Amino acid sequence: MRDLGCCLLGVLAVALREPDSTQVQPFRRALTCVRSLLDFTMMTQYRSHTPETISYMEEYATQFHETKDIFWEFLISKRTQEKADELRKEQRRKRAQMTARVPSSQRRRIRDDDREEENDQGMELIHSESNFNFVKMHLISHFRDHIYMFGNIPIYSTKYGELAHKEPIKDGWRRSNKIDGARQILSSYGRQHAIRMRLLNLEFLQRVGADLLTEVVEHLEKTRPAPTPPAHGRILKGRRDNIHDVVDFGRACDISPEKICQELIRYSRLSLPPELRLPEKPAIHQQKKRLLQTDRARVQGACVRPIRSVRPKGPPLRPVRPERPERLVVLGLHLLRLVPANTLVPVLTTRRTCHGLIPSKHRASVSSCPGVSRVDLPDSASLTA
Amino acid sequence: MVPIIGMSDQTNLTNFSGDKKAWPVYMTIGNLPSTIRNRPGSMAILLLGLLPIPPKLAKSSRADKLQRLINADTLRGVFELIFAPLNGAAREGAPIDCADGKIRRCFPIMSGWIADHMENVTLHGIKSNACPKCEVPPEELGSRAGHHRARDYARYERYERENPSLDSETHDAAHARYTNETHGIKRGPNVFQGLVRVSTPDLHMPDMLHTIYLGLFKHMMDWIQGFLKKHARQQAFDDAWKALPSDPGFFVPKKAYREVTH
Repeated sequence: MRDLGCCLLGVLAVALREPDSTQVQPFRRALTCVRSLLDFTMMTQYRSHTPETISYMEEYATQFHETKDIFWEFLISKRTQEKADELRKEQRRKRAQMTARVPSSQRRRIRDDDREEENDQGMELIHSESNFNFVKMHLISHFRDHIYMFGNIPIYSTKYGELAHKEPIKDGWRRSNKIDGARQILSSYGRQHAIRMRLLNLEFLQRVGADLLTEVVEHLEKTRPAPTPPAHGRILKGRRDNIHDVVDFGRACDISPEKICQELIRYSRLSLPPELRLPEKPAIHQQKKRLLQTDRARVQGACVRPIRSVRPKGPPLRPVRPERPERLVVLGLHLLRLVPANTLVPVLTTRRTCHGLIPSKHRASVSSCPGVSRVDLPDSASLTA
Repeated sequence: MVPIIGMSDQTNLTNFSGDKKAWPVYMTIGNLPSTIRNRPGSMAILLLGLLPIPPKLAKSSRADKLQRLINADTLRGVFELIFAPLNGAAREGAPIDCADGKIRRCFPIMSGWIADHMENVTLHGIKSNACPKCEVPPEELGSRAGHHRARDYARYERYERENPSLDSETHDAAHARYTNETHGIKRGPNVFQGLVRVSTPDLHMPDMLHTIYLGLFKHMMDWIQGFLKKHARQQAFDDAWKALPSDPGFFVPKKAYREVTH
């Protein structure tokens, strides 16, 4: 829904282009209305405000209230609709009685007149009954005062509260035996919270350089959670198995496994320290088939930045040592770099796969790969890395 | 001063079965920077407790009136328990260990309650088409008619105390009933009433997620669809919708707007 706000106005403007003479006015009004509401919501997302921005916000709200009547007739509640229908039926019945004696030629003309009248009356009823009176419409009028009192708006969103549900409540429920859930959720939360706070405190102490017992330090090292990838590199839990392997990716890009191998060796020769290098040509050529075709190198979230979070799944790869998962990412990256530079469009998939470059003609096939969610702009730093 | 921010939200624990719900109450403090406070891993949000969830009642059956009152009273009682340690500290101050190792005399004061609208309705004891901040009548919700008087929950409570039997036929009771009716008050107490140094209507926080994204945008899309239908532009809208180009951080819609249920 949030993305909807970004693009709605443009889409609407496109949809409403080339109006005919009767449509010019309502179209313009509708666009103004939508734009002012969208502008207002954009302003509410600001992280800091000045009197000027608040006055803009007010202005947009006023503009919206001035132009909202264009949408009046589409706010029909079911009750109003029923009323309108009933009114129409009633009138029809009356008229049928009246016109029963009139000859049929006249009847048609009368019917046409009646229909117009009916429509007018229906519209009137709708106009009088429907309104913008719902709570959410009113609540935004308090935003201004709120900014004056408490600062910006997004930090008070319930979004964060809903996030907080997940950990203590839902996981606690999952762990409980479902009989007296509430009690068990609370006690498991209490334990977890205590140990987390303790760990956080100890970690902080360690950071500032307090001398801790050696066992404590050891324990801290052990229990420290693996560095989590940044949000854009994280994979949704249910989708992890869905990640396709490198060969699939290569197929989509028209790159043969041999080429990938060559490139991998070249890379290891050029930029890796000697002890990590791949075996040189003859050996790897014996193994490359197994590397790229039989072993399915499942790359989890082969994103450049959270390189350490990437681990190969499935049977371990022979030439690439399993404890060195970084190489898999490198492989994925280089695979993408193979494509000649002049035909490229910049590509990067934030969620699941690699930063890199893919030629435009292959874009469709790449984005239809099972693991690739979508194709975006890369940041240059990751490409030169 | 330690501004305390509370949160509450009902949530379902089971999908499709069991009808199990939890109603947690969280607490956090306003002295933390919001970036830290709102990060899930920072343990800044404490779970205070799980509220009892009353069984669901059929709408407005007379026999359940008593049950409703009991529910409201229970809720109030639970909140009194939760807020009990807060009141003394807010009046007198309490020595609290600070992060820099010093001990300061702090005044923890409830200063915000983050919840969606239905939560606010339950907690403040108002009707669902009333605003928890001001006394706006339901027929003026959508208009832009200046300011309304801020709600004075203490007054409502006084009314209720003075007129214990609102159903009787006396003049006072009728008057009180009338005020309740016009101001959108349900019978039953506001759980925040009685907190020291707290102005109850100001506790209400705006809620971007429900008000704007799930509220206004949704309404607006309905209007727009109606508008497009009237002018026979729905097809053009869908075409443009599907043709949106990609951009970082933007979720490109793959289907036309009408093909997706929202």
